[in-house]
Amino acid sequence: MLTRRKLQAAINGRAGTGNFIHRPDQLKKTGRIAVPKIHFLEFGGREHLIDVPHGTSVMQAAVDNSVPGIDGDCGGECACATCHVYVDPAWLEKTGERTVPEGELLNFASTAQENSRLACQIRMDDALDGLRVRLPESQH
Amino acid sequence: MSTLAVDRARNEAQAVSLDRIDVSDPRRFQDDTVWPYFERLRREDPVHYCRDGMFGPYWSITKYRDIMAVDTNHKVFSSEAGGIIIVDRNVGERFPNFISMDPPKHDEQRKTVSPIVAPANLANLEGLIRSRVCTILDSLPRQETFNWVDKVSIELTTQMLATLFDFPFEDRRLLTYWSDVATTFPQAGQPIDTWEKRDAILAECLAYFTRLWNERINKAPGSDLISMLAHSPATRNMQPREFLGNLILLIVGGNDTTRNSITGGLWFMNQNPDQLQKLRNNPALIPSAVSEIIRYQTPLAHMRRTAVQDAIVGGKRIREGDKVVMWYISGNRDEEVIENANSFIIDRKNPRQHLSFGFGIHRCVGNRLAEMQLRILWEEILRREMDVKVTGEPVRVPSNFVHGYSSLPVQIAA
Repeated sequence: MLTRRKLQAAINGRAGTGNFIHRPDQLKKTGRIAVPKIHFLEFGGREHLIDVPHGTSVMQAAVDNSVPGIDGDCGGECACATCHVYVDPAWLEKTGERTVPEGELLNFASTAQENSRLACQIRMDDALDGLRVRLPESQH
Repeated sequence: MSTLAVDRARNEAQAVSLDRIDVSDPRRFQDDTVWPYFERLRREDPVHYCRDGMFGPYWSITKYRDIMAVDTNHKVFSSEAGGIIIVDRNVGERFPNFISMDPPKHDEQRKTVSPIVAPANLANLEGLIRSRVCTILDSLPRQETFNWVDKVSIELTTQMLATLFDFPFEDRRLLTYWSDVATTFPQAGQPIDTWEKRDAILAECLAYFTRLWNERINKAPGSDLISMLAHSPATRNMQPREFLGNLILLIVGGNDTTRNSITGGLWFMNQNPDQLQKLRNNPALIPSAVSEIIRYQTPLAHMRRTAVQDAIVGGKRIREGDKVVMWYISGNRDEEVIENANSFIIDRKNPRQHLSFGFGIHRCVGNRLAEMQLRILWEEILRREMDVKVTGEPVRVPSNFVHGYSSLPVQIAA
């Protein structure tokens, strides 16, 4: 996994890209964001901004909205590694660490990088509103 | 299969007492009468213990979710403790390979060979596969009956395998032969009736590949599987039995499985002309149809594990040391997870949700290559508007592991 130094360097490298989106219009009186959003970047560069209900996995959000490039063959059981995404380094701290079985599967993905995660293992909450993930060339 | 045989199997499967059901009998796969037995187990006893099986006592896991639970729990359900097929062989008689290993050794060896099916390499192979598919399809006889298994399924997959190994092309049918021998459990009345006979033939396979290994180890690392194995730190010091084990794994994995999905696909389309018409009307459905073919065929009927500690599966207590057989072929027909599971539907909602590739760390490494070969084949069949008619019943192989065909008679209209 990332060391703190590398993580900081990664964040610095991405500074100024406007990753954090503030949408006060979406804040309800409770302070909860009505529907958090995720930016999916296809391998070719096309961007999809998707509403993702609280508690929904990032994989399910992509599949439900037909974002090309996420297969999710196992249906979210962390059993196939076909929902591989690269988490924007600025978001790595918020998305957290890989689980053990997730790490085992990503270990076999030839396109895995340090910021690789399985999207079925990331569940949406307010803290992830505005999350940016990039998709690999293909799922394997 | 005749209607009579279907009815008889259905009656028998219902009449026999539950504890006497042994779904591992290879004859039931050969005559395609295993289905009602699995149906009954899924309904009445989804995690089923068979005390007097043809291959010894074992648990049958027959439902999708239970199979998923076993497949993803490699710490409790070991591939190494007893191998991955229902037949037991003593440790000294086995040919170890990475599918029959647990981490960490499994991981290292798998990572040695997986680059050959990584996205970049697949993209390189696509053009080659397409040109071969075209050559094969264009050379098929017209207006005469021939065996689709031999002329298309075997030919295409064996050519592919020869390329992956950089194996002498003119000798490629040896790969088919070794693959068939490797998946044969010796049975009385069959050409291979003893383990000795089988192992003697596989020794020839080892000798042939050892020659290729010796050539390649003295050259710069290449991009074929033999060179990858010979140069990787994880595999270059393998003992001969382990080299042979991994060869068999790659030959069978890259050969039998796709071969039988190619044959199965043609058979299913002929049995379901409405689905074929749907595909002709909308070739964009090909990737979905490919997944459906792979689900419906389930080219490997089972994978076996051995419990290395007590565990509960589907409410049953499985004891340390027990043999546990995951019947992918049954889980793929589990109506609780797959709607209309017994129907062949090329545009179903979640076509990729099937067990044929397994799940967890042993999930099929070559699945994308397999899908690509099937996709290209169907693209080219449709592009040619080729009308391939099945003219008789398929002949199935007597195996509870390789779920496949030895022949499928077909005829192409002029």
